[in-house]
Amino acid sequence: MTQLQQVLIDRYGKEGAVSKQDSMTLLSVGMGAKEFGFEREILDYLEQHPSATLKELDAFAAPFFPEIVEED
Amino acid sequence: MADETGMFDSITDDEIKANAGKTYQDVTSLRDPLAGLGYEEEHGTADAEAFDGLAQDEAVVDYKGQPREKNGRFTFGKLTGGGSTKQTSRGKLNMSKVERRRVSSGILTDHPNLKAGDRSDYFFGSHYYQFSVNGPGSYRFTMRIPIAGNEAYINKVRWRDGS
Repeated sequence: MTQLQQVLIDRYGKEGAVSKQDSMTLLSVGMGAKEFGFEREILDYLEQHPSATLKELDAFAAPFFPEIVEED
Repeated sequence: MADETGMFDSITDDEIKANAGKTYQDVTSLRDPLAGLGYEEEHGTADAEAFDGLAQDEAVVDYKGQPREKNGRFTFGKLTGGGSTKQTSRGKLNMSKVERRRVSSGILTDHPNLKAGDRSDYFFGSHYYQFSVNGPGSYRFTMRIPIAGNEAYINKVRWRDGS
């Protein structure tokens, strides 16, 4: 796992079960940051916002993802 | 001169005499911030402050939203209008018609009870997808991320959501 993925599990997965929405955020941010190159930004955000919720993290990360263009 | 030529009637003879022997560049040189030569000679001062209003370097004008590197140099990124790195980083990712059809078919088969407006995710082939439901069999894909290299992380997260 990457450093960010470990940080996400440690911070948001320690309580045990997570909701479907939280799981989607963990997957998209943990995998997407690595794939699209914004891990540093997410790590900085998490460091600066130690009590950020997954919903807040999701909102912060959303603009980093590429837009999916469906070809005709 | 105006009587003789029919032109230049806005320039008086006194002005013409006062500038006798000077070229156009001599008269207008101070408009060029790189020049400034001869200022002391003409105005009797070498005070650098006298140039402040004239010698503005237009090249250092900063544009709002222009991305910069940590050392202050401009990057080659696009102007964003907002100054935030995250607004410049969003690109586009193509998803072919064939891929969309295959993934949509898989979602409809495995999750037939999804309703319009629902958001969900789906692992298909070598990718992880997130999407919203337009209607039965119709989805708008919002995320597409390769699975390779993320297996351990996926297992840890999915174990926690009960999947």
